Amino acid sequence: MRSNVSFRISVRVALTFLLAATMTATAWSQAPAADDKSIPTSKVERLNRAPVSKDILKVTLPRPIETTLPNGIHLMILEDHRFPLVTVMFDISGAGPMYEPATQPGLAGATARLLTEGTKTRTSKQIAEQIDSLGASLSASASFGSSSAVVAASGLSDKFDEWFALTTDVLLHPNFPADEVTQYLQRAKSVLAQQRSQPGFLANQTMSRVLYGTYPAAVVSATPESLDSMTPAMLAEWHDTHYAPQNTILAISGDVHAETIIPKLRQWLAEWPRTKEVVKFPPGPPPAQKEKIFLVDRPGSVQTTLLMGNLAIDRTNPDYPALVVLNEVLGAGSASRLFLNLREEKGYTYGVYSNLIARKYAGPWTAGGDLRTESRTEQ
Amino acid sequence: MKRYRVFSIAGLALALGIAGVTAVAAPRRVLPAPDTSATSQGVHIPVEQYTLKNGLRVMLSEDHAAPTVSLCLTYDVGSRNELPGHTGFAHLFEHMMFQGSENVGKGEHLIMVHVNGGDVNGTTTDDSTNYYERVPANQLDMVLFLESDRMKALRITQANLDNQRSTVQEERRLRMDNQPYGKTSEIIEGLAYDNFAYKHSTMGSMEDLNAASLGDVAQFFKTYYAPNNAVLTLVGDFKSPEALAKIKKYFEEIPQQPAPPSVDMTEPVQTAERRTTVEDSFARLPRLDIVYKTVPANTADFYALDMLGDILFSGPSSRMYQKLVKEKMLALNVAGGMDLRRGPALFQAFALLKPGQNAGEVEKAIYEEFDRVKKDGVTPEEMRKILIQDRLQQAESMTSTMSRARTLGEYAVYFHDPELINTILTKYSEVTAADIQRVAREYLGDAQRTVVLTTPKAQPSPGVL
Repeated sequence: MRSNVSFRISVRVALTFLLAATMTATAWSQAPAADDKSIPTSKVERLNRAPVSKDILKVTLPRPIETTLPNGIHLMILEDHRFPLVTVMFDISGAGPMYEPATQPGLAGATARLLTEGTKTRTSKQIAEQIDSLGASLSASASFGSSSAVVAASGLSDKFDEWFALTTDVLLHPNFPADEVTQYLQRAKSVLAQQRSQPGFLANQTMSRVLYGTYPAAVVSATPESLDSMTPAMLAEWHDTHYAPQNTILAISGDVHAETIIPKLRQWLAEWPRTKEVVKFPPGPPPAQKEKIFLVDRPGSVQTTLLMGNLAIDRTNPDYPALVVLNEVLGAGSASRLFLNLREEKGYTYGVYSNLIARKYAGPWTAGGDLRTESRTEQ
Repeated sequence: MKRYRVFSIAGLALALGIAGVTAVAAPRRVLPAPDTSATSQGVHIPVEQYTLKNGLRVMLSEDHAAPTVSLCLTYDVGSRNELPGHTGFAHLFEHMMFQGSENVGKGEHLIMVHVNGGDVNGTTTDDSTNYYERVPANQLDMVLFLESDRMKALRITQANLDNQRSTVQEERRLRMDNQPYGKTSEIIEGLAYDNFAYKHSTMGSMEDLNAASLGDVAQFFKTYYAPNNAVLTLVGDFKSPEALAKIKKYFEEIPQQPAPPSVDMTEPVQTAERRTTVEDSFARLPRLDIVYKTVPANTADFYALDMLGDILFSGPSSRMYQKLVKEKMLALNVAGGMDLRRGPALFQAFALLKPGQNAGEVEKAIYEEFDRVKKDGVTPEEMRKILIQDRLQQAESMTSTMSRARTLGEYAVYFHDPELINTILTKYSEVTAADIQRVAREYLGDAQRTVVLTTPKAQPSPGVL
């Protein structure tokens, strides 16, 4: 869905109220890691004396082996024996925040986070001990704006069987101990407060709300109220209902041999039964409203975070490759037009960028950055 | 092993390379046989070392998994070389290096690399400055040309200086003045260290940045950006004899300079605890930082301290996380361990507190954990756990050619030992439980610590958006 309308959001020094936050998963205004040594295109001096090869190298990307397990899991394996490492990812469609009830923001995320805090046979501490002893890492999350929960693990290949078993245990048999849930919710509330001190979060949050309105992607964080109302039973119910093998992709890459582990995976994952759960993706976001400017005050701010954009395309749109290239030219990185042209002698900014998000639903194309407060009006 | 780099200014986090690609016409199911040998014990990186006639040290490491090359120039200069009145200089200079040289136009370096399919950046720390590019393998000549030209003949003008000064000041605002806890690192280093070298921040002060003159910049360039003061590292898809010939062609004629003055990094013995409290306009949660000055990296005690730091802080089963976050619920998060420095490195402990949390209680709990190690030592199981985690981190950090190039450069400049990339796991396996107990007693004493508490500034009552 396209729109001719744009929204401009500016966070600046002024009065009254105060919001605080950290970067959201979407991070629309997040700059790439500091690449700030460039100058405006008008001032670039091309001497063209450095030798440049005109050949375009040809590469062939490796393809994974794919198969579907009897319980519906879509399995993909990419072998890579250069390093003694394996990475594993379960992507569980339908378990992400896009499907949360509007009154319970953060439920999907809390469920995912609590998977590693206790199973039927292991306490939180035991899980932590075993993971660290195996030289592995294990995490589960469900980011705002996403339709999936993700359980990810990685580690040394000579311990793969053991840490994969641990990963399966937290995925399939979490028991959401009451004290762990309480602890998590308390920590999450404190983190909410911290988020709200960060200008990037404030911009992202406002942009999400104005672009998406009542569409689930508008939600970028939990609230103290929703956290207060969560119980272990609710998390268990979310897990029972929405974590299903027929909606799951299992991706494995690294130092494994497909012919060896596929039989093992069939065996290890056989205990996860198919359910009737069908993922019904919510219909696309409503059309954008007319042009608006939103100001978010952040007292004491020495910079202004500026963010502007509108809804663009979803990932399956045939224009996606063209828009990726356009975004690259216009604002992705330090050789881009936006970046070069806003770095005048006055040094307006440390960086200004654009970003294209195209998901299952139409995401925004946005542009913005952190500007010197005095220079804001000249943008 | 996890280097807890709270205080360095990095242009980038270490970029991890994407999975390799084959460069042959026929698609293959698996990637080609590795040049790095992946044994179950660790990864071995082949390194060839050379020194050119003008003193430039060169390290080559072939890897044909992907048709790319990563080039890194590491210069033996950092903010520790700066004198009072000239803080922020090494970092400002890093920016100057991208403004053009005799045969490369203003801004051209960056554009050329980007439009030819590469990426490029630089970082400045207390201890060194590096510049690195990763490009398709057929652009090796291009990057060698660009790097050699600016080493040889950087264009130093008032306009360039003024423009980059402005950028750096904006970077200071972004990173330090406009973020919660943005200034905390600067305050910690300022209080803990007495020797000016590490005491002042790499980012520098606004006043000193404003005062930097063209003469200063020219002198800095002449002194530090000399071939005999640099290491060139190349990792990727090339043939060593051919690559070496090219490197000589571009770099060997650059004249040597007298060795720069050495830096005295000695810290006087600290005889009493230091502490301060800082109000932060943007922080919403109190943050406690405790640091101890110890020893330079790559010394025997460093490895023992590093393992001690990991046992205490690394991973969800670590002592501090289990005790302070899970069991006593005194902190929302904890982290710590050794940072990596050429001079006295810091053993760090950091805790993020809940609003209204009594910081004194948290401090006490942290010292109790230190005391437990001093009294009862650590267990063989804990040590085994850390060694396997180190093995994992070593393997993970080596997957990217860029990461290898930067690490080799760092080891060469800091320790004159690029082979450390292959021997570092052995250093950890040589540490004993007795060593760990000893270093806890020797370095984590009450009088040796510096404590900084960052507290949120009281806010007007929030409205609702």
